[in-house]
Amino acid sequence: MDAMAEIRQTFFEECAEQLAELEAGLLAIENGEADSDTVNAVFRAVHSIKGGAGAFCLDDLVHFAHVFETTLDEMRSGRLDSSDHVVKIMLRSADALADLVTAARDGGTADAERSGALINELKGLVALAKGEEPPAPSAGTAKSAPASDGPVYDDGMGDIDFTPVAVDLSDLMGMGGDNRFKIVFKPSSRMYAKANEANRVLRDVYALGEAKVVCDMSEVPLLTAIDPEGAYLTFNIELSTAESEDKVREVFEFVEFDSELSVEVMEDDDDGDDSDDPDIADILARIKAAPDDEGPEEVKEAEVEAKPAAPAKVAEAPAPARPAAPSEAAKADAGGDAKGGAAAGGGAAQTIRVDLERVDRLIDLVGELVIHQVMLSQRAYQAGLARASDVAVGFDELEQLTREIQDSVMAIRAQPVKSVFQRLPRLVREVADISGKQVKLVTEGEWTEVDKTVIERLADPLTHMIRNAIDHGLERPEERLEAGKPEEGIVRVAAMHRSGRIVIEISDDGAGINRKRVKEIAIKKGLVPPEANLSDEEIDNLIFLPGFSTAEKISSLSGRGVGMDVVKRSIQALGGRVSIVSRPGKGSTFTMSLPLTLAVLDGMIVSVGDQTVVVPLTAIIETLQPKASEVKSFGGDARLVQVRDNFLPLVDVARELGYSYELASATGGVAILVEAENGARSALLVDAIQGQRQVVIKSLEANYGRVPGIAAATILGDGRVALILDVDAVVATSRPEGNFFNSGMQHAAE
Amino acid sequence: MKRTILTIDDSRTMREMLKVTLASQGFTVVQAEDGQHGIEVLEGMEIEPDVIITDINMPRKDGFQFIEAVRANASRRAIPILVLTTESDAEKKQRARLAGATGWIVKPFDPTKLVDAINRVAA
Repeated sequence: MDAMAEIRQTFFEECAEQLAELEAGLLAIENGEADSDTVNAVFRAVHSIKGGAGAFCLDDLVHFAHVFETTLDEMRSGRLDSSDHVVKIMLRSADALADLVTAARDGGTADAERSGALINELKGLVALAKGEEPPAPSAGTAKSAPASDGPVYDDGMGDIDFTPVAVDLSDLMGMGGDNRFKIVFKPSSRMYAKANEANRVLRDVYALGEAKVVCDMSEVPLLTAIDPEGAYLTFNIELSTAESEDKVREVFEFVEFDSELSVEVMEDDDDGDDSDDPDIADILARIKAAPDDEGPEEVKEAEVEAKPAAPAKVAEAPAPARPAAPSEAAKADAGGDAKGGAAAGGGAAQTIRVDLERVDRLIDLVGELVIHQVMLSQRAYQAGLARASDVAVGFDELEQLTREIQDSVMAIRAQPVKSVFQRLPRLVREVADISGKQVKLVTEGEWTEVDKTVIERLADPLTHMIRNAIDHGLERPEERLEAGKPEEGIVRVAAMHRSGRIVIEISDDGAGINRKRVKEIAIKKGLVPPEANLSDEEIDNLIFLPGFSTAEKISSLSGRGVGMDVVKRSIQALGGRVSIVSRPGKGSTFTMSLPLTLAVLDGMIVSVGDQTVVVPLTAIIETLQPKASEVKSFGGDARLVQVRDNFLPLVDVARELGYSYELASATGGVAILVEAENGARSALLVDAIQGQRQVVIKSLEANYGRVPGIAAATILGDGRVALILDVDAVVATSRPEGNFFNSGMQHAAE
Repeated sequence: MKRTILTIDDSRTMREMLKVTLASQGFTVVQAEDGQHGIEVLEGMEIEPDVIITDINMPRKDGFQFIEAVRANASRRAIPILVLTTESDAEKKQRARLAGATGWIVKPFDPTKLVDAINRVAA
């Protein structure tokens, strides 16, 4: 049972993959980028889902998948054109199939009316392909069908008899019965070439009832004339059984085309010698007689069978030229390799599945390896190792190697963002449907790789931003026409690598942010003081503030009480940033920037009090040593530092983290200019800079607990633990009653 | 001696299901993911499998092509090959037969019938 539960899980995992492939394939067909391999892959995806669903008795799913598959088969065979109309129906069917899979997995029910309607549409396509009248659309949906358990579909598919029933192979140990058959069974050499054996067939015959088998060996030639792979025997069988003729024929179903076979019903008390019965003659399945050898010879051993010699022996001898298909097949084999390899494309690349835990364990170990390698070389140098010595050179090489191992291991966790991107077309279709807008989705850079965890946690914010782009960004078709734009709006999602991070841009060609309105709302909600003088950029970024929602009534799409602030927070939680650029009338672009991995981080190692702290390099703009004249103090502990023409708040890190009560002297330390997520700049005051290096991130929450101002921890080369600074949080808490940006940042830091 | 079954199916679900079913019946199971892979696995086996069970609809090399490739090698004509597929139609069976299949099983299979089918064709 446990094993079955596991297989069930495998099935649903696989379904997800197949559905993704299905959708990707259909989209390729829609864009006219499909070849026959794509259509085949699409067909196989649905076929596989059907196969698995059958095994789990998921009848609704099987039924729908079957109709879908049948339609796809028409497309595969070229009878059904992949016109826009057809592909649209198929895309919707793919969505319905996905819903059925989800319903089957979670035990819910899918929309039977919708799948029923789609079944009719699909059948209509099949009928069209076959040149028949499409079935009447209204009748026969779930609604009008007679009452019964579960959804009932119109059964106009008489020609496709899909009955998921296993072939009944044997009801063992039959007994004699009233039905008597006379069977003549003469295997040909081809039967043996397919690994069928006469004795196995006879064994099955015995299982049906009482059988008398007489072996006719009259055709067996002299030993010198025997073809070891020839077939010379004929079996005359009289069978008395309770089974029907169909059952008897079933025994021979694997071999009937590779043998001469006749099955006659014996009349009572009739020996059944006349084989001229016209009915029976019709049923005779004759394909090709065995080689005509002659010379009837008395062979005494009744059990001898002329079957091929043991395979191994044949293999050693040079294989005789075969008359049949095999030689052709051999060519197909050789040729098929190259073709098959090319056809495989991205889908069936050489891959193995590894438990994620194992990969993470490996990453952890490699992290330790890096730390120990650094520790070892540091100690060796401290002990007086000469920099120019061979050992030092060895250390350098070791360091290089461990870095490479680390990169390679990290790459295992990296996945293309495709897995998230391929969910988007459906989302866009749905949101477009509900909002009554026409949307074309363009995705770019779907093979850009990023850590698996980042991908997983990317899905929600991305989904939300796309909903937002369609719901708030794009105008209605008529408004677009008025504005001189095409009816169909474009939402573009692009992923790219930029300076060690992954950047995802979500842009629309809609109306852009209505700044006047955004500002009004922000003032009305008390998010900004009425007299605030805000730049365009600042106004645009107001939408990320908690409690801000531009929709006058909460729509079912972007609403749900979730605002862009949540999006922003979840991106920040990943160590990412999000910003918006909007051009009135032209559209908006949201830019998300995320770290490629959550396992390592480039950091600046600094001293704060007697502690060592790591500042993420991505937040740092520059470092400087403030002069006394540049530091202005105003009221309490608040200080500003002048950097060229700007005054920036100076944040005393030691004090913020509770290492010291005293305000540190600004001139004795180093100011690190950092940029928070909203673009606001501050200067962090630390005692000294130790260096810059990549550190392995160890979660503080997993090992200890959450500490405000601290993002994580790491182990340094000398074995000491260092804390990684949460720059945003430290900056935010240092300014309890600052300007409006703080409310957002405090929120983010909670 | 334990019998070895080579199963070829592009569906992980099916592979797992075959493996669990066959392993519980005391068979040793070797798996391949498509026809091409099946040939490669077969080439790599020290002892040839007692029975091969293959799907039909697969990428790279389908079941028919796989069977033809196996049968092209004279020494492999004695390996029983069962075609495992959801197709119940006669055309697929006929094509499988022409390619050199020993027999077939219709999916979804009943475990006992699967084992019966294997016993029916295995030496």
